[in-house]
Amino acid sequence: MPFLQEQDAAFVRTRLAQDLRDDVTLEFFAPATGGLVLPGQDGQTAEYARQILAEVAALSPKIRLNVHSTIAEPDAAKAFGIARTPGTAVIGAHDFGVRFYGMPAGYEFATLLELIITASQGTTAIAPQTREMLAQLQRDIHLQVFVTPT
Amino acid sequence: MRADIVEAGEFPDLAERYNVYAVPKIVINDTVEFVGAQPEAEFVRYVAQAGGLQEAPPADE
Repeated sequence: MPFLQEQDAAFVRTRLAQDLRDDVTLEFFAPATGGLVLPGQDGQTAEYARQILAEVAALSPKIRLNVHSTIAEPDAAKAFGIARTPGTAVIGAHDFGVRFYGMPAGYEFATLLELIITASQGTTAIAPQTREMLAQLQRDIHLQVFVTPT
Repeated sequence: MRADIVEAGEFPDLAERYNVYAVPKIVINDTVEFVGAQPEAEFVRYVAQAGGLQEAPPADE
């Protein structure tokens, strides 16, 4: 059964067609891929996450999904800085450093959509003062935003 | 700068480590944290604090 109902899919398709500019690649990482579930791993959650991403990718020719196994491709996980699974790097014309950990379901589906659109547009609506401050930062910033789907 | 969105329920170890009792909870460089959506100017002050700026710039100049 698909995650997105038909009318939701239609809405998302329209939104993506309107708002996407650059191509976006979703680099998705799970311990194992292809339905293989390893003992002690929650393969179900990762599989749902992969399914959601696949359905979104199918709604726009500008979105591509690459599915990786952290076991088969530990170097790729490292290269993308994926620390946990399921983990997804949302990459636009550049890697803007945004990662999504967990299943983008419920309210977090909207977060995923906004991430994809922002990465595709390569810009945000932040204020000039904010940009100025960010340029002065003396150390790297690691933002972690904890969310729940409800 | 990098930004992780973490589904708290799927990563209970992280949720426990950062005392996530309400969402959204934002943790910056493991040193600065706050709960709830904030206006951009407030958010920026937290980032500045974590980023080693002695004094966060005023919200509007």
